[in-house]
Amino acid sequence: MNSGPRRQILDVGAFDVSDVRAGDKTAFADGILTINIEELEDQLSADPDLAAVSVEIIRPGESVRVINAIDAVEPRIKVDPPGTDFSGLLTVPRLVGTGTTHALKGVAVVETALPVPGEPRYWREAVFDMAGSTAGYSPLSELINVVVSCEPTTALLESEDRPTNVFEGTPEAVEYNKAVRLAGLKAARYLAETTLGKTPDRVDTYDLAPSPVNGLPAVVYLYQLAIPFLHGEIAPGAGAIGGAAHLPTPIHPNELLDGALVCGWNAIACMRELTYTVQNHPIIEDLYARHGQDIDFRGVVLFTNGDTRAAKERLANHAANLAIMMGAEGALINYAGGGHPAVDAMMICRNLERRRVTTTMLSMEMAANPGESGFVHFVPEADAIVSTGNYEEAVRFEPVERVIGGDALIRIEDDPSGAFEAPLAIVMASTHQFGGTRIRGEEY
Amino acid sequence: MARIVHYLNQFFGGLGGEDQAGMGPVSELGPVGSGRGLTRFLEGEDRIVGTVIGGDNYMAQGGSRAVDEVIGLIAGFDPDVVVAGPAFGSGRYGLACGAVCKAVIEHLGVPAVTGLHPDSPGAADYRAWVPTLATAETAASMGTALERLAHLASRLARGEELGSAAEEGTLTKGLRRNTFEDLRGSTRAIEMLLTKMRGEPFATEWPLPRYEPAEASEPITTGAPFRLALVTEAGIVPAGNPDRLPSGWATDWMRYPIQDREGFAEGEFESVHGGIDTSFANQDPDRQVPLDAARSMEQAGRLSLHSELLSTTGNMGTLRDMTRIGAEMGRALIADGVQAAIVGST
Repeated sequence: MNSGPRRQILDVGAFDVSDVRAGDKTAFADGILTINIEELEDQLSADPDLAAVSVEIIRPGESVRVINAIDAVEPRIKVDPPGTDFSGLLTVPRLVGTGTTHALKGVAVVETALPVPGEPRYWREAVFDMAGSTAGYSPLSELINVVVSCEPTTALLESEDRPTNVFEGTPEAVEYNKAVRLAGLKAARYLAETTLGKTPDRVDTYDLAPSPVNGLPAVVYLYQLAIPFLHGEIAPGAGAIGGAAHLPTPIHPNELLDGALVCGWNAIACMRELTYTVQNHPIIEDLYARHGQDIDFRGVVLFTNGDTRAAKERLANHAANLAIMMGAEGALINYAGGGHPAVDAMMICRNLERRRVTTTMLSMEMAANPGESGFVHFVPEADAIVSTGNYEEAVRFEPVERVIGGDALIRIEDDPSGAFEAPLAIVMASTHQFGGTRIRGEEY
Repeated sequence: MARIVHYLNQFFGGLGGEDQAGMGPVSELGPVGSGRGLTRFLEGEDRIVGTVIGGDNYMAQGGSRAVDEVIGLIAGFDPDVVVAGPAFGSGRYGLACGAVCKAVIEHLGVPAVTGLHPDSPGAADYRAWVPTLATAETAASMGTALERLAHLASRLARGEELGSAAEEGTLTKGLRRNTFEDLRGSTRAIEMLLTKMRGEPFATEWPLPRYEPAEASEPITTGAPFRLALVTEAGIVPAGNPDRLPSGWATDWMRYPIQDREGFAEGEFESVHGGIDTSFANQDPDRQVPLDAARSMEQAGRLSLHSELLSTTGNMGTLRDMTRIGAEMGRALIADGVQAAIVGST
């Protein structure tokens, strides 16, 4: 019999991109990604929900502001097994997180879309600058961005439906937003196709094999999802915010890195779970980098939030159980943002600490004035928290030469190219819950 | 040479104990009481040109008028810097030190510094405005506190900006702001976790708020009918919200007469709370504030209902504002002879 552990290894071949340019033929050579803009626009415009799609390239340091942003995606293609890109969305649901994937590094595809009637707008404002003092807040400001700007059909713009589900919007609005996201995923695959048959600059190997060093602290990451769209479906089970809670699920981190989870809805920009951020998940990347060095990384537990006391108790007990079953001595917990999710994340922290699992949480702060604590909920056991920044703190946007993504902001009446003040909440991924940025709140 | 004025209470000013706590402010030339100790640590030719002494009770009860009197006496010495205390963990004295320093900074445009225990009431109320040396709880640590206060005072008199709270041993302002770290959050989280797992000291980046324990009152033994008030943080107001109670971040509270009501009718009262689905409360505000039930119990002779509803909005309220609002409501109810209250929460 064939003995020994069965392993799931993912190799990500990284191609460093030094510049992206428009040209006659879409190709990648010597660190330069060339895009036939017209060809890409034609491919993406085929979707009947989109009236027009335009593609632009923007670079760090350029005086550009992107507004009405939806998501950001790192250009990637599955080399082995082929045809499993963004499983469940561009392909039927297949196993990902194994084999070989190619990735263009230093680049993101960013979709923008004009809002349509019937769309929840409370959280939708999403902005980032490529230059000026506000450029330091979004991870996207440091990347060369291929911006895919989508325009809705006239029928969509003229619809007057009011949403029955305030989190998702009308079916038409949901369909439109999905079309926008699919355009971004398709563009990401289209650009990464240029790497097929080429040798990457380096290969990052993700292997959760048992640590070769005994006695390292065993750590499980408990990942609170704001957006439980796994493999293109709301999963596992029902949704989180605004829906019934499902039980937490253990998952192989490679799946998350390899396109199983994409951004599914327009949460507040600062905490939006960008596909790019999940593909390069900072906590998972950092745990992998130290696996077998000074950490024994045991895997990931996905959880969402309950909407009743009973659901929260059930969820928090089960999440702690799973982590302990996976051998956790220590646990990292991220809080997804919002009101309800804070309670579940804190309950899990309490349950784990009471069962002698040491915890550290990552949490954004929401304090509208500097004299308040910004906590939604807390437990005394949450004595180790990394702050990923207070998103209610106002930042001053400076005038820019060019705006991409529309002519107007959604909830801010100022000229989008001008100077205005707004909370950090509207800046894409600025205080995101995975600790990928260096911002934090401090007491002074 | 920096001209220093020292503020003290009657005890540390050597004028007496609790029997003298009602004394109004007086001034004396040069250092007095613990000011003589402070003088030993002053740098160069810096000196205490005058001392102002206020009685603990006089200052506690006199409000801004008492502080103004002190400020007038301090201004007469034309100081470059004012030192108040240290008052350590004491209540009235610490509050007076904080109030005097804040007024000196704001009205005289002169720097001021005090020394307080982090948990003292004066620290809670004034740390946001007044540079405050963190001291131990009792005057047993007077020597070290004076030495460090003297050093801070000399530097403030020279116009120096103080460094961070950690560098200076001062209290933080108790405020939060965004800053940038060298390491990203995920890496910091792993470091914090491993440090905590090793049992070594670690510092959370976001300290939990500190709640003072709320002690339960003694049971009511006077028998029925006892006097009951209805209180809410659900933002229940007369329809149309005539007083503009905010839907969140409330800093004030309202009183609404309810003596003529059997209950709350839909359309006459509503909830302006911005953090919950208010439709159930708006259909029948009694769901939020049980006026109908309380009234029927009153008619059965089991209680006597207070004539007013006390209402604020708890949504996004700061701990500081809500603590103050709770204390204000409590005092108002006690003054009206209320014995018990039901706080309808959201």
